[in-house]
Amino acid sequence: MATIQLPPRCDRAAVAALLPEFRAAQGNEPLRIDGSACQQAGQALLQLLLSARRTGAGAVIAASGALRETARMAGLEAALLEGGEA
Amino acid sequence: MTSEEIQAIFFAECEESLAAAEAGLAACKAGTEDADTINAIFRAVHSIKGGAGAFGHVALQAFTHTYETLLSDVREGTVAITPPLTELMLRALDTLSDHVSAAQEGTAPPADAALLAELTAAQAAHAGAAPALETPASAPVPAPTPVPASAAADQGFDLDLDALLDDLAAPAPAAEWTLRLRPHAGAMVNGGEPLLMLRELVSAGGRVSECDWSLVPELDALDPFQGYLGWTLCLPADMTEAAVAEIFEFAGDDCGLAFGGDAPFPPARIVAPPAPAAVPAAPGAANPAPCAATQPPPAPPAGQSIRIDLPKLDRLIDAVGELVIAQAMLAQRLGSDGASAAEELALIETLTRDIQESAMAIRAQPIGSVFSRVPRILRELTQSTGKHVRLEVSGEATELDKTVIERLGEPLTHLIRNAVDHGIEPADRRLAAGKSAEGTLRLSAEQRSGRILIRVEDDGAGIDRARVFAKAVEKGLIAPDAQLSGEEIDLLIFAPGFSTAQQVSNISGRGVGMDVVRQNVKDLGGRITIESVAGKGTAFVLTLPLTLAISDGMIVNVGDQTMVVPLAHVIESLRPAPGDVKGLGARRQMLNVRGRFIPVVPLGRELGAAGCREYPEQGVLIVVDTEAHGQAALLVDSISDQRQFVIKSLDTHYRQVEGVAGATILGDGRVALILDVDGLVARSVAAGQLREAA
Repeated sequence: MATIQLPPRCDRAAVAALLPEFRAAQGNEPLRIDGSACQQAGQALLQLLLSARRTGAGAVIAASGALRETARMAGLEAALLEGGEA
Repeated sequence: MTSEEIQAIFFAECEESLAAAEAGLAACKAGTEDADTINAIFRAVHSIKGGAGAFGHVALQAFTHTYETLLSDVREGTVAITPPLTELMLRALDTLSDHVSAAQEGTAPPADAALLAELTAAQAAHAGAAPALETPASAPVPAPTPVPASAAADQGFDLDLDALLDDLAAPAPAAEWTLRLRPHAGAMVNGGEPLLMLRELVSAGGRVSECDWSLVPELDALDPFQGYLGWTLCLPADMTEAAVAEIFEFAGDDCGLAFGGDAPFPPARIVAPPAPAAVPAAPGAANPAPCAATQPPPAPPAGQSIRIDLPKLDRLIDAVGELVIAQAMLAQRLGSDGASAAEELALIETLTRDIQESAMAIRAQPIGSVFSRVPRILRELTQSTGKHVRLEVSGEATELDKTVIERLGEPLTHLIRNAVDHGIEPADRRLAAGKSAEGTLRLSAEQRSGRILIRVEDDGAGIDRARVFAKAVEKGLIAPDAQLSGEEIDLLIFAPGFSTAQQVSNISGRGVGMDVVRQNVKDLGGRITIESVAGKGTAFVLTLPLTLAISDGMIVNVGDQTMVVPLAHVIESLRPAPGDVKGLGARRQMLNVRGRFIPVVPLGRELGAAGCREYPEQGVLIVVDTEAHGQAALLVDSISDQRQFVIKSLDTHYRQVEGVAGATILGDGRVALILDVDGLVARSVAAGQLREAA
């Protein structure tokens, strides 16, 4: 299935644009999310990614250094990236 | 909001923090500090450190960390406040200010290795002596060496600092405390980002022990802009609740905070989306349960504020100015239709004035922001001149327009440098004159009849008039036989190119300062006067308008002209009886105001208006107060109105005109000149004196 690319700047506007894409991509397989370009992530993006992990077959997230660092700082590294990282 | 914009806010806050720390350290210097003072200094340095970490200003963060460590010990009482320590902390504050400037401008950070070593040594010396500190007595102390800022990469550096903190805190593991944080939807709007605040807590030594994401729903029910997450953080003991509250100050009640390990999570405020599956299956439901509705979030910190771009405010002020003109036009139109007494018109006038005052109040800032820079100037002057000067400040809370505040810094700095360099004598001369070795500089601000009076006063030798006179003759500014009063001689120091310094110093004495000062003050629509007493000292008095945009005035007719007399100058107006005005000399006339004689200034003749009334008995006299020449009576044909007017600069649209302060647009669309009352009266009085002397 297609991989959803995260833009470098994942602010509110980006998350608003990504949400319908995430919903449309739900299926029997885990969502594949490529966050390797993501340099800036806010709470809205973390919530979107957590929601994707929780929904259906879950999600597999490839994280950039910045995204991983943000996840770690927020205490969400395991919840977002463990057990199925791309 | 871009990161650059957020960073701009950080630097604006840095300035406020520096001013707060400066004020606190001034209290320490004066010996009036208390626990709140030290807390305020600590918070100021701490919040700079937090932002520096978040934005990757490594050198700034390193410096603030060491400074904060010392302040933390001061706060806990393990390091005592002594005059040498206060001096050290003041020097550290100056360097911190330089660090902030360097970070803001992207230039190389100041050399701080020696100062860092001093700060660390000051902390270590006391820490070693203090039994209360948890440093192991036998083991070598790893921390008190200057942190090498240059080699540290951003990430690695953070880790080093944290490790350093951990090492220090290791023997006292119970010192951490718990904070629970739940940002609501409102914290994510208007550029707000909870993760930035979380990062600040982490930079300050906190760590996330758990993130509760049990409320995050599945994608179909998700509104990513609701606050679903809740964090539990372990914060270091030296971080106070007040410091945490400060970090979240701007978020107000959009971030729920609960202090202490026993406090439950602040309840979430999730607005359910219309979709039916709004409530998620909660795998970790044990945590959120107690926070359902048990405890309301803490009350928002008092005095919430928002930041507004200045151009937006300027547009508001411009619009208010146009509103004032439009209201005047409406009044004029209704007046010509015989409906000037309409109640609605009075209501609009009141509302317009309210809006104008509110808009002006948004731009108003306390002058303390300018005064707070003075201690540093004095410290630098003490170093370069060897003169010790005590600063006395009053009226810091006096508010005036932001533009005036911004443009006041330069002339004020000149005046202060001038006072220390030229005014206050060296210690030996002071002692010989029976004064204390330490000079005194008094800065004061007060609002008086619609204007702001700022005094810069020293207790030095006063202006040496004989030397000023001789210098002015030597420079060809006046004739050797000129007859000048003491005050007129004083004013010579404002002449371009005038300097009486025995030696040209790098502080003042280049002869460019004082005329620039006067020009700056004039550009602000203000005046500067001198009060000097030999042997006692000199005071420079700046009189400034409260605002540069709108003022109250009396609309007068003089011949074929309509003019505005600013109301700030007006004392009374009267129609003189035949015996009230007496002739003096060839053409001068004096008005008897209840037994006191004041000069009559015929406006029409002064300004060359055609067809004006020549004799006071035919017109109206407006008694005005001036800065330099006391009261005078302006002769006008008639007074037509009293109203607000919008000041339009004549310099910008035309050129500077003597006796005219600006122009305004009247209700009927005509342009009227705003009188420079001080300038007009001064010119008229001087001309009268010359005529009499001739």
